[in-house]
Amino acid sequence: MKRQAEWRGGLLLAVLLIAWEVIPRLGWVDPLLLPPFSRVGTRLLTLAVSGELVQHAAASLGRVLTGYGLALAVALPLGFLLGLSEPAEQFARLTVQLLRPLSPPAWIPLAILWFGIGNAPAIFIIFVGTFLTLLTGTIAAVRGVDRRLVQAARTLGCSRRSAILRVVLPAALPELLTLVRLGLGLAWMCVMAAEMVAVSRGLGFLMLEARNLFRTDTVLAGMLTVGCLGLLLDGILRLVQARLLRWQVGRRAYEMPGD
Amino acid sequence: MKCLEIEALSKVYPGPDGPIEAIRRVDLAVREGDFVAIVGPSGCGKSTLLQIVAGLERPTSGRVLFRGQPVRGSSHERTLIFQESALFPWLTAQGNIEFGLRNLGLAAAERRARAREALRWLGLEAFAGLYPHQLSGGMQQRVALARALAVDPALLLMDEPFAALDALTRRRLQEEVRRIQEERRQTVLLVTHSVREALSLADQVVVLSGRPAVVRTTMPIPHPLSPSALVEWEEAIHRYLMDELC
Repeated sequence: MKRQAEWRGGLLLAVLLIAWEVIPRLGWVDPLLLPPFSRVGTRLLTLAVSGELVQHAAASLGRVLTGYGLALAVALPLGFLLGLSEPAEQFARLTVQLLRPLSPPAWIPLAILWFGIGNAPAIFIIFVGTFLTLLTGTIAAVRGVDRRLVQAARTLGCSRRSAILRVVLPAALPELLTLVRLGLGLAWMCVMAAEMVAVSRGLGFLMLEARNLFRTDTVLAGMLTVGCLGLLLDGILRLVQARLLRWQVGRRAYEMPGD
Repeated sequence: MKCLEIEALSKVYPGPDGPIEAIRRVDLAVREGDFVAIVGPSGCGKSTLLQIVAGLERPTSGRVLFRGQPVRGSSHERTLIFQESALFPWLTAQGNIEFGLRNLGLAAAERRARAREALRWLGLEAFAGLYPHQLSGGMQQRVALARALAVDPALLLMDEPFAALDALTRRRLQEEVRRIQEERRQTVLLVTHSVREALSLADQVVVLSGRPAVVRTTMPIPHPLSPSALVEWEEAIHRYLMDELC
């Protein structure tokens, strides 16, 4: 079953890659605008061998991990607090709702004014771009915990405080892990936006510079790298998820693709 | 010896259209070893009463004494069983039972031994390693019962524990509860809307009125009840409840 699922997943990708190879070669589109896959692959290899790609990828990855890690470290505990305490959530509600419509690119000018050029503005943008989504998601996950589970724990002698760790946390965990995966995708979007303006290294920078030189193959090679890195990180998170939520096997109405 | 004394207990909730009076001046006493059932029309505040006894809700006025002491907060001495099993879905049957035992500060080995014992009482040995979603509704409720009994509560509170089960499963679990109650001399306070269930399980049936709930009558039930006597008692209590519905 599993092997069949993987095979099927690869099928569409293979068809698309073949089309990507064939269509420019047949001259249906200008190869300058869409170089065939093999040329992009070669370019990717050249960049990888020269070490240039690793440098850019490492810079992007470092920013994502730092910015997103900081956002997680602040948003998850704070979201727990706000989710558990109605007055605290009411206190924060208006502010959160005011800030939420500000999409990550909206923060870029301010980030550059405050932090100049380099890692700091990019990390800042990832932080603000993911923080509120993580916060509101965590509040919702905590709020969604069946209160009877907490009541059952309490009448089994569990203190209020230990019920938070032993009941609310595991009960909210499935939703929290999905949230962390979604947030990571968001962090990648933020880093790309940030790197197109505020840095001199990173995959976003690589692509922007290649555009200026009309190197479509490098632009596409950069995009492929972003896709692969995202896939890799999400794969790691999926493994963590599968391990932590082993009890859910066979519980869901349908399994998510790739799970 | 009194296990539970409820004196002039009232509960008023704030509602959207003014305060809602759920319970009005209810008096009730449960002796050690008694099996007391509370029946009343649905939505009459029976569950609220149980929540207050469990220490999950505060009364607006009146007193609840548990073994002579006023109830403050919840405790494993007053364990509550819900209509739906309220098992922790991330723990196995055994893990669910050990959850309460961990609160008692027992060592791992003793927790395991006591959980095994509780599983055996309810014929669940073969299901120890299964998660709640792998069990039928009746089995889940058995695990909930085992989990509650494992912490050895002085008072077992049951809120419509069989209402979501099919008739046959319900009957078997009722018999099981009756057996365990007799073997352990377990004090039980059961809330149910089924008069027949109350009559076949309890030594004493308390009839509550519709909202706000006041005690209409308290009846000691002689056991064993012959089938014809059961019908008569049921008829008598139904008449009380019918008056409430008009």
